Amino acid sequence: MKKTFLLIFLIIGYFIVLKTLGETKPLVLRKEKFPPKILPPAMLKLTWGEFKNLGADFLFIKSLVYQEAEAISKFSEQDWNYIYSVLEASRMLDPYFKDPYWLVQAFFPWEAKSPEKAIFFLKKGLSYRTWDWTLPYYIGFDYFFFLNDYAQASKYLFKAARISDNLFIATLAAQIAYKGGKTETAIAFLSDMYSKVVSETAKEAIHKRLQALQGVLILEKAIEKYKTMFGHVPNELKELVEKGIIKEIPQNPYHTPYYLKDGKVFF
Amino acid sequence: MHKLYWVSWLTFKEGIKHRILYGIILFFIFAAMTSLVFADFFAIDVVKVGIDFALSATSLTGLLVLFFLCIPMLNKDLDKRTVYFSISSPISRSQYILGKFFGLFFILFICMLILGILSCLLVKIFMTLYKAYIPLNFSWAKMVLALAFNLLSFLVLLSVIFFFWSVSSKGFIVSTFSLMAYIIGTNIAVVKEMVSSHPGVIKHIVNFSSWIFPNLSYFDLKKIAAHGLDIAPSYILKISIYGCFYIAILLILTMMIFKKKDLA
Repeated sequence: MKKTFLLIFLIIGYFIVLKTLGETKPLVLRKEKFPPKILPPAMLKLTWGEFKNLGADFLFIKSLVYQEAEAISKFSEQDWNYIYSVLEASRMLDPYFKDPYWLVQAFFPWEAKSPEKAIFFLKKGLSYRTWDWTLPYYIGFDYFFFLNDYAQASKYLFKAARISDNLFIATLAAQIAYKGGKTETAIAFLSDMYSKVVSETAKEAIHKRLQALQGVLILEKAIEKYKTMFGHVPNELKELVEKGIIKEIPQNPYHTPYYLKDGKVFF
Repeated sequence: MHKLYWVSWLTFKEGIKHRILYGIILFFIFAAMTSLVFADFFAIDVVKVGIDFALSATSLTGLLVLFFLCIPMLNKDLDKRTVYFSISSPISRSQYILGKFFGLFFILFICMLILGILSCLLVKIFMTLYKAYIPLNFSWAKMVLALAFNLLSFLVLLSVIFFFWSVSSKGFIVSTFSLMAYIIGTNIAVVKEMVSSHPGVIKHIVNFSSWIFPNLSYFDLKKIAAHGLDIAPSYILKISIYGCFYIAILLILTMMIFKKKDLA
């Protein structure tokens, strides 16, 4: 009888403690002032032994967990460097694994504003994923959209087109060779990425960026119309509404208004 | 031949009695469920992740069988003196060793067969759920090949266990040395690469170790199956011969040591 009471007491106590703990983050999950260090590649390979593939999967998830979606905008350079090294570690363990390449492309040129880093990372995968047209495709896009290097962009996009036999990429490569349609190209690129991804978090992030770019495209077309009508670009975006070219300025999904600088729309 | 079969059959029966099959199936189901829960975290290569989980769970389960079933079974024979029953029968010590080896081989084979079927089932589930994400050159043949060479690596490790058992017969020592051989075996290729440009004596030690310890990374074909990569038939032939030769050498050494061993 005594034992039963003791057991009931302990079980109730256990759940009370568990409920209290539920509101406390375990120490390992607390964000430290300085991101933790990643083991050097050779040590990492030794640690995972014959389970290197599983290690690559685990590190990929680790980088995703660290990103915590909404906090991305507040990331410091140090945070991005940490994510980059985790993804690099994942790539080292399984250089054929597509997801680290994909994630680097999804975030580094855009949010981390490091297209060079993304290109460097993606180029490492070219000798492994020789059948995969998306790597040269991503590289080509980064050269085009972020670095304005049209020669390199068309070189890699033509490489992608050769691997995939996809008419769309070949057209894109030709279009870029003529230096045209930057926003349209970005929308086409992101739509393609969106259609291929499984992860809901990643889908949401891409969708947001896609919406922002669609807004930019509407505004760019309106500015072009304004320029034809008045011979110069507007000083502010609200002039487009005032002159009746568009009914309203599109909503920016990033919750900051679109703005005009040197005739270009930014978000 | 009949005596060899008799020892093998007894060993196999004894192993099956431990109900390991229930254990490994439960462990695999747990691993499979974990992989399905985590699948949605991945962006593109989801089926590859499924294959990773399936093959890694198979490897881990096989290791558990080796360390928690095979080693205790070998030691039990010496500890409980049941070895005398076999040795006093009209069979030679070499036949006893071979019989034991084949008995444990059959246990591992059955385990791998079940795990292989479960692995393929798990991969099939992934392929059905994520049809658009199947690796470009995926083939079931490569999956079976990865499983077969996983079994061969277990047999190599089993021969290492037999060797250490013939030398020491103390369970803890056999487990420790076998684990050490496993860790060295899976990492020797990486270490060799690390020290390749090292001018010192370490390079020679590592090179020497690579001749002694089994290079288990040769049998690791998980990447081939996961990404549908090409593999040369000559590579398969070479590693098969390497594995068989290693097993044969260690078994002969085991028989030679066991012949002179004082079992009293």
